[in-house]
Amino acid sequence: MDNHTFISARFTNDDRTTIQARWQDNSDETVFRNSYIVVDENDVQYKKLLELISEDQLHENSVVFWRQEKEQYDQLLVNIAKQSGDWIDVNDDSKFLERLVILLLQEESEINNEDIFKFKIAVFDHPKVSDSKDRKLKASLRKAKTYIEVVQLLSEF
Amino acid sequence: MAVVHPLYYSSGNLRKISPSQLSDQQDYGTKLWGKATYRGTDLAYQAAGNLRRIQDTRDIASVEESNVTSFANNTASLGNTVDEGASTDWDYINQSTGTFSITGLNYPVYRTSSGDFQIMSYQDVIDTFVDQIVSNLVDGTDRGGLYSISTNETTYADHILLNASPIFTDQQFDKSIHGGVTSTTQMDILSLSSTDLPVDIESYYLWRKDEETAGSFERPLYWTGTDFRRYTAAEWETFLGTLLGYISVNETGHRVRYEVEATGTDTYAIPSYITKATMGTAMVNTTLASQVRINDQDGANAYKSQRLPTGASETNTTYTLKIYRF
Repeated sequence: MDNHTFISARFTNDDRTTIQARWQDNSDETVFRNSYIVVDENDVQYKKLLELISEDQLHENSVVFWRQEKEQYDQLLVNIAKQSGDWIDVNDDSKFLERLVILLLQEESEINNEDIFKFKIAVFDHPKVSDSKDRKLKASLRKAKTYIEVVQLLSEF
Repeated sequence: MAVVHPLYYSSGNLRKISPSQLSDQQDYGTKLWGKATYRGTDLAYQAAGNLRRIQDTRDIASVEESNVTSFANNTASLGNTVDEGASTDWDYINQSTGTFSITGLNYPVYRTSSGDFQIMSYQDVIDTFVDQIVSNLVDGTDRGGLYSISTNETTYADHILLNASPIFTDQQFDKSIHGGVTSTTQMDILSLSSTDLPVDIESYYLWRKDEETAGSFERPLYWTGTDFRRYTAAEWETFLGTLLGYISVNETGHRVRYEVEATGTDTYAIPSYITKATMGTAMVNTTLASQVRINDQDGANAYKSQRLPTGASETNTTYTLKIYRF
């Protein structure tokens, strides 16, 4: 791009048929612009781009970009979960305990079957339960419908 | 094909121009394209332009489902987002050709292999000058008088912006409304004002490169009817420029035109046997690659669910402004 300095380039699609090149405006270094180039060995612009960046680097930049995009997305999910109270920092005791109270007081209708099943598996894996011979108590634990019920039974082992 | 070597005057002698001097004249002729007077083909920003339209497509949200009991009750009837469910045609590039009169022009003189003086024919001018000039114009180099596409919206050195409005803007569904989530999430964003909520991703503008400064070259001689005379600078410019304009508009194989090509879902191609080149940046029509279900409980008895576009960009169609000869 005239009057611009090449910064980097990457593919824009999985088929790798189009490239996005990033440029910095020489007359205003705060301005960056994109140009798009079709991957065509006969295309002058594609040939010129390959004078600035190798095909290997294009592939590498694309992988790095997609990986960064995923990392940013994962971080975004964490931020949303934190804002909505679905993400608890286990090192923050006050928040953890606050969340624990909410879970213990959930009614049966509010509890997801899969979640309480995972909770019971964790309880059964604890030596205090796994080493116990009390079959009746274990059977009651299996039938428990709420978190608080599980905790109450756990305290009896 | 008959490339001839016109004569020029040098220190009291008539000499035929060398291949290198002929190349200088062809370069000069190529730069004449930068002058509006001799430019055979022009583009303009104009509604309902005659070049092929560029299409922006966007994924749109599903129809919202709602009930008074639970989000789960929406699942069976909840539809998917619609790939490219909305579109906007961008039809703003208009092509026009000039009108040129080639009567009354004095053609250059050359010497035949048998030593006779001969006035160049119209076809000799094509073969000697214009054929190479047209090849230069369609080789993909950004030259004076040629049009190209850029994402620059205001300043572009040595170029003039045809219109402050873009000739194409790529839009996508505005995923910022849900933060780009890709797994089912409960958010207070439903109901949407529309299933099509576009946001600008990239805009493209039509530019023309300014006239470039011509290099030096030898002006040839022409026959007045009684003697040889060296073209003045103005005479040679008029002669070569007028013929270039006329031939680039009218002569098969030497006509210069523009068109919008496309690869992807909206494919359109100039036949592969035609010499063509991309002018400026390609233009990409992108959409989002996936969808996400959003649940929103509005009040005690309104369980709303809707699928919205999300995910990474995917390129549906790549458009290019092509210059070509035919």
